[in-house]
Amino acid sequence: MLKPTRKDLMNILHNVGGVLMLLGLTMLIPLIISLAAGEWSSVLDFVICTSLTIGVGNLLYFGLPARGRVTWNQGLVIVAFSWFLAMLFSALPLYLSGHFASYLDACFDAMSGPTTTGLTLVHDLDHLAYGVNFWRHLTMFLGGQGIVILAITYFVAGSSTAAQMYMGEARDSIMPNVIESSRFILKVSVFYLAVGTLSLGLCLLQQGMAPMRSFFQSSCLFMAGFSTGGFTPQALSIVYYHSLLVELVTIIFMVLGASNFAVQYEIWQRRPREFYRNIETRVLSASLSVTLGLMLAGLIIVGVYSTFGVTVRRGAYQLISGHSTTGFMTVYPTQMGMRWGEIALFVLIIVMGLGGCACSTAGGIKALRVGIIFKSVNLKVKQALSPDSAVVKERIHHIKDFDVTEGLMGATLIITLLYIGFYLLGALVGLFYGYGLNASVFESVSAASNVGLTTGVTQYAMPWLLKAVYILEMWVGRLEILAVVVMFAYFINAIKRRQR
Amino acid sequence: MKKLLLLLAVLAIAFLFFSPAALAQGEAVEVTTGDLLEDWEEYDGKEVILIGEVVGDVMARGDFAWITVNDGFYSREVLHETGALVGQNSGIGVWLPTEEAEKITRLGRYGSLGDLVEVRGVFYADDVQHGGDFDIQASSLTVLEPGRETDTSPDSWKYYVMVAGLIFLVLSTTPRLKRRAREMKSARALLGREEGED
Repeated sequence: MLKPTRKDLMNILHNVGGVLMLLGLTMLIPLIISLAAGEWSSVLDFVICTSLTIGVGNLLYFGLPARGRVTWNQGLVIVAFSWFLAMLFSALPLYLSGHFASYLDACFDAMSGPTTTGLTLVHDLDHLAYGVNFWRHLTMFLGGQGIVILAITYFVAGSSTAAQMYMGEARDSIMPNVIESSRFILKVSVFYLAVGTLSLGLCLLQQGMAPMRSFFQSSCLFMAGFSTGGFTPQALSIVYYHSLLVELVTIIFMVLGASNFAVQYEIWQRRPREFYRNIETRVLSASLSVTLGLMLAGLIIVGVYSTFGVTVRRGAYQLISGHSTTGFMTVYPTQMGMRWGEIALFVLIIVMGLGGCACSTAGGIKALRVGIIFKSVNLKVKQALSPDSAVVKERIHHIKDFDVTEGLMGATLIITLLYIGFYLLGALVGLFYGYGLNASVFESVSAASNVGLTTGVTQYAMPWLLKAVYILEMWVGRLEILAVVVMFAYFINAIKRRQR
Repeated sequence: MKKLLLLLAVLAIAFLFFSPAALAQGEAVEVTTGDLLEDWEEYDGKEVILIGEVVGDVMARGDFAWITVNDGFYSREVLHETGALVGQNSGIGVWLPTEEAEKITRLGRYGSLGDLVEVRGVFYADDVQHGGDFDIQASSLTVLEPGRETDTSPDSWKYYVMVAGLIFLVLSTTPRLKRRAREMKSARALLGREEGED
């Protein structure tokens, strides 16, 4: 077993420092917004938080110089620890705003934002300062693209170090060089941000909103939608806009965010065939068709809505929101919990658990793993029906063709089982606190798959332990579990070594 | 005895006014969004009265407009002034004629407590006209209390913390400066050695 030395820990902290410096710099954006809006209290908050975050980043990055190349396990620890520290520092402006009852509550939102979950404990969102509100959404955008990926682009020297950190953030490399991959993701995201903000801003203008408010809200909604996050600038989520147009545009954002960046790269390179051939496209098409049918059947049986058109509009939106792991809502949480019936909620739990595509901003088990599991079952059945001497193979197309091997099956099943384990852990804690089975499972899957849909369990008055468990679930869910587990094991080993 | 009789009379009137029979007769009853969410079947399609703060935006669409009326704790108490944290907002969308919406003088946002209004209209748990919205189609709006600016001035301690933060930021660059000075020194030494060799 690896026993980390002082030098290893210094190497880790050095790179974490780079991430904090970047985080501190991004706080300058809401600072400028607060200045423009004349929100002096928020201006002070952001000056305090920027100074502190960059200051600590400076001390770690320059005070502890890099010692050699970063190994694979160090890369995982850097990523997991960076996300934890990013939560602590991102929570500062939220807490100072006075809209959170405790620092734990602020940390809850500061983890929910970057992990693109969207569950929130904010009080009186409708009177929150523009700068702080923008910060909530910006953390989603940063987290969706990958905080560490962004840091790689600017602070990490050396492609081997970058590669270890890139993989730790649960992303497949789109190009041979991870720094180029990071830059591609950033460029595409900024392009989408500009186009998305403009198009939705024009929609909101057309729907009767004032110009400045339209573009502020559209930028927030884009950052949350494309990052499959789910925060909204108003407390009523998407219900607030009462607009089919806004619903359609946000569906486009959600689908783009939940689609594999590598497939999007192929389309950008004018190779659209990849989209049709890719296993994830096929899995998601099948999953959406089946679950939409079940969802509509569930809603019709309960008789929530009086017309089929309305049932499709409400049901399909929540289904896409859940499957893409966004969490935008066109119904009230209480309404969904009380009126939608068991079948619709069960379908939502399933799609939230499955999630979107690998190498996207979506959470959950992911379509690629579901595809591999189905192909594995198919392979085992074929093997059972074939003569002993036959060599049976099953192939998958994801960017390129590859065989389903025992190793791939094992790795996929381990991650899938770990996800299910975390879903059950959160549900169990919810049950112990007296929440119903449906509500406990729903909320736990929503947190661990980074979805953000809620039936009303997540609120400021819920027990602190449940808040802490959901924070853990959001964190491990975003990093696909392994990085966080390795981080804990790494630090425990370091402590053991020190004790000896 | 008189007091008791008076109390009984008040209770009887209240019962008549708020009873299901009154609802069935179509008389408007005062509700909260909590009532509508929990007992939606009771109020669906009935005339209701909702009192709360207008927040966010007035979204005019032709002869009608959408507003959002929040009726929770914060519709009367400003978080920045009281510091009281009692949870999330509770509100509902209200669809009303534009001329009624024009009575609104201030909207609730950061630094602003919106007008306290009374809206009277029909509640729909599944408004087919608006794609299944959970809303109130109001016929009238009355401003009960005009909104006002709220105090958002920073707490004085934040100025001190800000100065301390900036000092920390400057001090934190020391390792960077030291490192650069060390690098410059070694570069100069290297340069001097090379010049000496030449």
